[in-house]
Amino acid sequence: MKWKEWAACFLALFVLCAGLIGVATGLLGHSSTSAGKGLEARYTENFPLSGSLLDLRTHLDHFIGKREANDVYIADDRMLDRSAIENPELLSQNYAKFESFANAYQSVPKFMLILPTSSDIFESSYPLVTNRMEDMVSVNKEFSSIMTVFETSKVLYSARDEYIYYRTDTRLTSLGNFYVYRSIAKNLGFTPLTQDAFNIIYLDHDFRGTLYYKSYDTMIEPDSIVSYRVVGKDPVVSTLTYLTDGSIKGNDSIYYPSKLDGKEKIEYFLGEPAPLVRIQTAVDNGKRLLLIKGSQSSGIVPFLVNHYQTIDMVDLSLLNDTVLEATGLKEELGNYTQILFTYGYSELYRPIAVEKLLPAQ
Amino acid sequence: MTFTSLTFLFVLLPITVLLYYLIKPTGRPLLLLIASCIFGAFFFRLLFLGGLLLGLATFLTAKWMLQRKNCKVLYTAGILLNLVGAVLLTLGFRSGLYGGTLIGCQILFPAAVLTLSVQNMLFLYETRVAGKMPVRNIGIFFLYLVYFPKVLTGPVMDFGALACVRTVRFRLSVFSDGLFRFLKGLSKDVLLSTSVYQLWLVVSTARTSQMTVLMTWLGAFSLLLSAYFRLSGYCDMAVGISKMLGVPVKPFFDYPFHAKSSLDFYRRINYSVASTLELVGSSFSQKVWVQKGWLIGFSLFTASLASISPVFLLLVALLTVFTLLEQLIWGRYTAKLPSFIRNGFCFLLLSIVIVSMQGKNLLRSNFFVRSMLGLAGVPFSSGYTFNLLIWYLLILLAAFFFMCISRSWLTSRMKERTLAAFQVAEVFFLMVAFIVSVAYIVYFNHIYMGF
Repeated sequence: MKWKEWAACFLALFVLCAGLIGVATGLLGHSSTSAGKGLEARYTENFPLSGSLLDLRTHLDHFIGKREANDVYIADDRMLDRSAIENPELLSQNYAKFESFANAYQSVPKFMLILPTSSDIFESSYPLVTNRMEDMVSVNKEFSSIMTVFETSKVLYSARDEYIYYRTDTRLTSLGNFYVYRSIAKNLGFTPLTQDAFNIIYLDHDFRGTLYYKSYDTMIEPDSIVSYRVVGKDPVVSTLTYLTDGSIKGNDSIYYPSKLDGKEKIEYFLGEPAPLVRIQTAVDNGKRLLLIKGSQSSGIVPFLVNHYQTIDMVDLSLLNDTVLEATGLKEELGNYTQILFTYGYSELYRPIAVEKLLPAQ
Repeated sequence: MTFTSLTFLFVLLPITVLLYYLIKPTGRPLLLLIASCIFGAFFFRLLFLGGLLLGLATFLTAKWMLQRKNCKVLYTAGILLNLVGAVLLTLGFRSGLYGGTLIGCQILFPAAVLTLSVQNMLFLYETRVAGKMPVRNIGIFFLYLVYFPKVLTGPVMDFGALACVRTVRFRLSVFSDGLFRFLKGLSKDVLLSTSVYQLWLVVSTARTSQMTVLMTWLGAFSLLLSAYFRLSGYCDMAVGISKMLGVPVKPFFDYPFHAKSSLDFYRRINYSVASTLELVGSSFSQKVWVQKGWLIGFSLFTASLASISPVFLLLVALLTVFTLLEQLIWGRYTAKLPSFIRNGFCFLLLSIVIVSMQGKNLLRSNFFVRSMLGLAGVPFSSGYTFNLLIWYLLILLAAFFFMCISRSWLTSRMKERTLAAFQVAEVFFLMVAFIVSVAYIVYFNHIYMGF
């Protein structure tokens, strides 16, 4: 037999063995994320050595100098989202909606927290992005004519050498949220707790965020999840999570330790996405906060629970009539002490359904 | 299923090949038919069923045609039935009737539908010319339609090519040749086509302010090269699998960038389809202009099937008008020009057409074309374009290597020792390329399946 035929035999045998192992582990084994996605998905997820193959792909891409994968830019030490679609028309439409909301609930103090994403703060790492920080300043100015807008980009920019953003996600870490919390406290009317007032608990060192699952680049170090727990007794008494189907889940804390075992480790804070989360605390000051948040900006809540008796956290993208009717949220809007909108800068260029909370005409 | 599905590479293909040589030769056609049905119906059962129904209708039409003394009306009706059937099947795919899309299937599935309908037409043609059906068993006829190595992009098979499956014996040398041909095709498709296409993605998602003339041309070349490597890769894979099974299948791809006119390009990109269509055209009229018209009409039809949205039918129509004018008016003058000028002109025309068909809408397409022609007010080059150019050159070097090992002129000039060393390097390279290809397939699956 010639060497070429030997090579063919070896390869055929290898493919057959890999195939059979794949069938055994993939098609017959356990699958969590690919359930219901078909045989190819199940097989891929459990394919032998898939982790090493993803590593190989990453090294090759880096070797040929390819720094982008599926709208994610791979900078030296972090991933940056490149997919933000900036549609100026949507920004002005959203502005009009916020203006209508402000006019409808004039008696309640309203605040807007526009959070930059990691790609805004680290834009110098990416060769083609225009000056987004300047754009943010003008957006802040525009919104400040209808409500109080918190300027956080400078605080975050000056702390950019610290671990304020997850490396594999667009969101702020607990430390980043702590800096934001300190910078907005005065305007919200309370004195912020210092870092000494918190126990800093390291929960997980293998967190991979949304940008990792978009790019599957294994070169960037996984993130750590850190929780800031106030020294002494946890102020949270109960948490009621209203789901889209109208059902309610209760918990005695805002933390969900079981989530650390799954893929969405970030859901350790406040659990799975829900249209409304009602947090009752032991703080006896009668202050009620309505926090209307975007998809990625709830990290500040663990700090705010130390200063409000009740916090209602609303996700407008998930809010529906079932939840509105069950909770009477619309009718209660005038009774809140403060209303705080927290949105990522790029989220302002996507549709925001503020009209769901406007009073019926 | 496609050739780059993990379930195909690691489950269906090895098991089919293994069983093919283990079972009794008389059972092989049935095994191939079952494997082809699994392959075809894995993702789009309804589309596959539609294809089989079209085949059944063609078979019955041929039978009826023979009963009615080779009736020309029935023959014409059969041809028309396949044209309409191909359009309906493709429209069903476009409207999402078959349940979603798959990576790369924007080109592959219309091509599969076209191959199927042309195979049906060949069946009708051979029945009419010979006065008897080339295949009498409907099961074997279905096997010719859906034979998995060729069902996606072709070639159109001669009826009789599968007759050898009952007699062929396992020969390791032929099997290894087929296996390495398959690996070469896989690498072309997964590594080269996808890498080159990434360059187009960078260009197409760049902001208007970042666009340069050079960048748009780079994007156009990358699109053309990507399409070339995809089709060439599929051709190699189809030929390789058939070789592993001991079935002779002719390649369908003949260096399309050597084309000297748009019609020549159409012939070269899938000459089994083009030659079958020329045969079918000749059965209606012996006049050259009728046959050319038929082929041009079909090129319009093919391009319409492959176009991304109905809006681009306009562009396809323009291309057809251009082809007609080329054939009727200036073709006779350009024929006197040196071949490299005609070659270059055809390449530039293809670049413009392929870019204009990629825009998300006509405005964007218009912008791309104007950028290429330097009419969009964008600068000629920039530092970023220079980086892209370096990347592109790296890919071209890899592509050149692949071209070389596929061409006999390089190996024919080598001495015996050099040739042996070259072949060792080639096999080693292909084995490494296989592992890398699998790594990329796993990666793409992870991204698109959203784990």
